[in-house]
Amino acid sequence: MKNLNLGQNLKKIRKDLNLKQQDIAGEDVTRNLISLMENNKTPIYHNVANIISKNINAILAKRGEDIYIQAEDILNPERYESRRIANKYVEKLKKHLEEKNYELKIEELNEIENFLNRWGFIDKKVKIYELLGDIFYNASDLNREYYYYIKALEVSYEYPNMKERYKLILKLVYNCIITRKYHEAIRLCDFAITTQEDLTEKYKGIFHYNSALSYYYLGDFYKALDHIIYAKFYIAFDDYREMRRILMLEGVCNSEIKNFDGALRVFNKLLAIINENDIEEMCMSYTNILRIFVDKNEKEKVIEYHNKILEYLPKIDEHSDYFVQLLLSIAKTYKYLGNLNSYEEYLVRTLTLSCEIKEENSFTHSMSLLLDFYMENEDYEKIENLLNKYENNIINFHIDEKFGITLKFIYSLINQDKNWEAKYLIKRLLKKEEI
Amino acid sequence: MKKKILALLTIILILVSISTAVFAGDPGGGISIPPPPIRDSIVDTE
Repeated sequence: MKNLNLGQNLKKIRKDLNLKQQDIAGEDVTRNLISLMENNKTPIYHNVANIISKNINAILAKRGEDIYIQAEDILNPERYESRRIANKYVEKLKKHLEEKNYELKIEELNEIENFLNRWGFIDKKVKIYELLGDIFYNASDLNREYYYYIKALEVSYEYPNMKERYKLILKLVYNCIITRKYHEAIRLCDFAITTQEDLTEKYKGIFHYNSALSYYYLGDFYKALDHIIYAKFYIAFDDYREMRRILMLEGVCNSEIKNFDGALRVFNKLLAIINENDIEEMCMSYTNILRIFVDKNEKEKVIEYHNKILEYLPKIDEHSDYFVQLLLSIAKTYKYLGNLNSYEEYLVRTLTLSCEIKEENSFTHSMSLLLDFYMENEDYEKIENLLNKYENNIINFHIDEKFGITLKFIYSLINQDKNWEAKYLIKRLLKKEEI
Repeated sequence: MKKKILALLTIILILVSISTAVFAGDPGGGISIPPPPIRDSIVDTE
């Protein structure tokens, strides 16, 4: 096997792929020539190898097979043989996923990368990079996940007949939204919708939904609602999982533009299709509805939904995706209702849990609200306790250059015992942030 | 004299209200929780 000549290699490729000589000849080359080449009676030139590989790939694409043969595979038996090794890497990575083993040693990664760099198998590269992205997704390693999906996508542009590239793009879009790269997510959604010819209707809807969500986070609620219209057009109403998300998003967007009646109508439709066992989703809906009644200042309705949420809360797993946000919402509702003890209690719960699960947004938000609360009540001992407990987190807050400059000014004032000036500067900064 | 005391009281009240306004924080009242992005298409058995 190791010492195959070119003719034998060509025959091996053909047999491995279950193809006849006529199949790979196509219309540009005669079957007779193929036979001569396989028997080493005539050399295989690069242009002929190109034609043959194109014919092979056209057949494989029609069959829906995920293999891409290049001219170099035909002209280099060692390279074609190395495809078997590439297949072993694919199987190994698939096994990692099946066994939920998301730890990859750095040596293993380097070995795979070096192999792919040496041989440049386009189809295998796409497959392997995507599998690596999947592994890092499951390992919650967002940076590596992004890195490998982007690599897979870039290589996939060299793979002309690639099927279902949109599924890879969708995984990348998801990562971009989670890591707040909203503009990139939108760009990728547009790209998928406008260029991927094999995109199904349902996936079109999903890309529009993800676009809408990105626009929501960017604060462009009208564009979000535009994309929601498209999403609803492409997704069947009984695709419940997708439809629930679309309706939830439609509801919160309408809420943001103060179309409260529209928002409530949408949330009612949503509640009708939420599975009664999905308590977390129900509480999310109640939270979003409660916010509308706060904006409308309908206190009785606020209390009604607040109590519903409190009733269901113990049934939700604390480590589920949205529990910490539900706690934060409950805290803020208590403040609205004037129950400051419970406000503090739930803020502390939010802070503790968000620190534990490393949920940054809720951590900083609840910390900020607690500090405001303690400052208002001049409870400096509690502030000091917070600082002692969360010192490490606070020291590791990201400080950009401009904020660093501000801190230096304040430090300098304090150093000169000019405390009043320092306080005045800080108040001006905080007031500006509030506005 | 009365006018001076009144003026002083007014200034103090203003200063206290500024201090309260800076640290008054959020008025409270719930948040919006948007749904998560979609990563794949599953066959919904519901």
